[in-house]
Amino acid sequence: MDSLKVTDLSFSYGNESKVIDNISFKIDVGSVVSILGPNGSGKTTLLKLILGLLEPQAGIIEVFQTKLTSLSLKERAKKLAYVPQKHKAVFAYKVIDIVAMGKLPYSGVFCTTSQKDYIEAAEMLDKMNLKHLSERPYNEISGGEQQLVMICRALLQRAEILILDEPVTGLDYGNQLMLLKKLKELSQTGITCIMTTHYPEHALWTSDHSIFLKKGKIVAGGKTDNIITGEMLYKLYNVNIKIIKTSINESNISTCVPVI
Amino acid sequence: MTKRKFYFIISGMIVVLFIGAYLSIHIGSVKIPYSATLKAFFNNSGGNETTELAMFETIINEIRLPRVLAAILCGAALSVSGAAYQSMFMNPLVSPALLGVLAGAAFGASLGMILSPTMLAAQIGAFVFGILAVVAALFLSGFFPGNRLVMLIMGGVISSTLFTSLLSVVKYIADTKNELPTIVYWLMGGFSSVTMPVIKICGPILIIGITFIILFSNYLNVLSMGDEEASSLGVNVSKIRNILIIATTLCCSLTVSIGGMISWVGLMIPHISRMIVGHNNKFLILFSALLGSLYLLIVDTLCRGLFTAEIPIGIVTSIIGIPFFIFVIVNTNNRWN
Repeated sequence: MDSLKVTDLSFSYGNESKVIDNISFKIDVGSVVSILGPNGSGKTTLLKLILGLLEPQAGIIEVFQTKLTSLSLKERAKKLAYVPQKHKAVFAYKVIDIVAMGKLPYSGVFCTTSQKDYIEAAEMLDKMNLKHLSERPYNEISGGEQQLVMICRALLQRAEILILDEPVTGLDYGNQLMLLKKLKELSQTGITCIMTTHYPEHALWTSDHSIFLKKGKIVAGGKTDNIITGEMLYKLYNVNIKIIKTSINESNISTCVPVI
Repeated sequence: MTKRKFYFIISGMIVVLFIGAYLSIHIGSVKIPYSATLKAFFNNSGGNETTELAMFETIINEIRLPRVLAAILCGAALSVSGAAYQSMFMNPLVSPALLGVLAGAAFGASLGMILSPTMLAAQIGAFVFGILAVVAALFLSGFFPGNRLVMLIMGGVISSTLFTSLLSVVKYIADTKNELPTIVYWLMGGFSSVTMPVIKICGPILIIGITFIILFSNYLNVLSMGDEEASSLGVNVSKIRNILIIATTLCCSLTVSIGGMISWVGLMIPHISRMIVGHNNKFLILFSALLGSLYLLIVDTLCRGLFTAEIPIGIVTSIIGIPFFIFVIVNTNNRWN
């Protein structure tokens, strides 16, 4: 079953040339999908279109076979959760307050969060092994922890699709791997994860499928192992990269090695 | 902070506010005995009271009580507006003046003063032009492409500058013997000319505005995380922001109508409140309302009680505000981004 289906999608900012140019793809339930491409290829714009933050000039986005445009803002938030790029809140809210925001799509007119919502937020933090951060100011925890807190909030939204915009950018190596591992685990529970990334090796390690974007067009899309090749990476980034395949503990692992 | 602890603090503050208001009524050039206050409030003798008690009753009901109520309402309105603006515009250093409401109201009041000798014209002028200035800011922001929040601020800068210039024009053409001193004195802020009819008209609107901001305070947390995040959590950002801008504009323009320009309250009180109850707007807005009320009540009481001549309240709030602002920058800089 498709969790997301994009058909003939086009978008441009004002009268400028198309940032997203007539693209189509579909994503299976419970898969991890990486969107790769050089800077300015339209990755973040595509995510914003999927989230409904931008209005496409043409094309249809369907979430679980329902047109995105026919869903209210709250209904969208119950299906699609957004994990933004590493950022800091202006005010030092407590981690539990940030996570409890995940219940907003289920709140009433005045957006109130109940005691029950806070209990659920605490349980979610516990489930993600972040209980110890609960009362800490969000501003003062590490970048990796902040991203995990954002994922925690997204999970509290009970959305079946997570949209992650360069989730590992700015994180140290340990936090990068921890986050990718968590995404893999989440996909095994049936949650679809769609992320943009600048690291093809991350796509190789975690993603079932990948989409390569260049100048707003899909240049390749399909099973990650099939499409991430040295030739394709050269086409995309104009640098020589070798894909090394190896086997560790009986599992096949591929990674990228630049040829400098 | 737990809800129980918060409501305990709020209850305590309400009690302190009532006691403060009661004590404030006694302070002034005419000393009123405490026993006379209760009699004045509850006396239904229909004019059979003694001459002295009748005088006290007049002073309390027509002079002291209106200004105590004005201080409480304006303090709450400016504080909640400031806290709401800081969250909405994702900047802890903005004040309710950001979209030009205070500049517009100051111009409107000054215009009213040169067009009519009555205070009513100034009060209506302040209210109308305060709203017009914000409408102008919103209208202007629509012309600029790009980030909506930044464009709103740009619109506010243009609107503020325009109405500040117009205020200078009014001052320039005002009669230097009567009108100009009145404008200048009024711009310094104060509740000395507040009457009960003014409170009866403005009070309910202020209470509605403050209530709206308190009711919508939960939205402020998510608005302060950015428009995209708020939208992705199912919040209709433009609608909620407009509701809050309307409520804060009503509140701020009415405070200028009632008490002139009272600066720094909207910036200072939310910060003190954050230090006490934390950053969560669910607690912050209500706490700011009460703290702002208490603050302006105390400052107003000092303004009329410290010296024989009354000091304009705007001067005192600025004198207190500036060192506090430096303290805030020095001490909390590392907690903001």
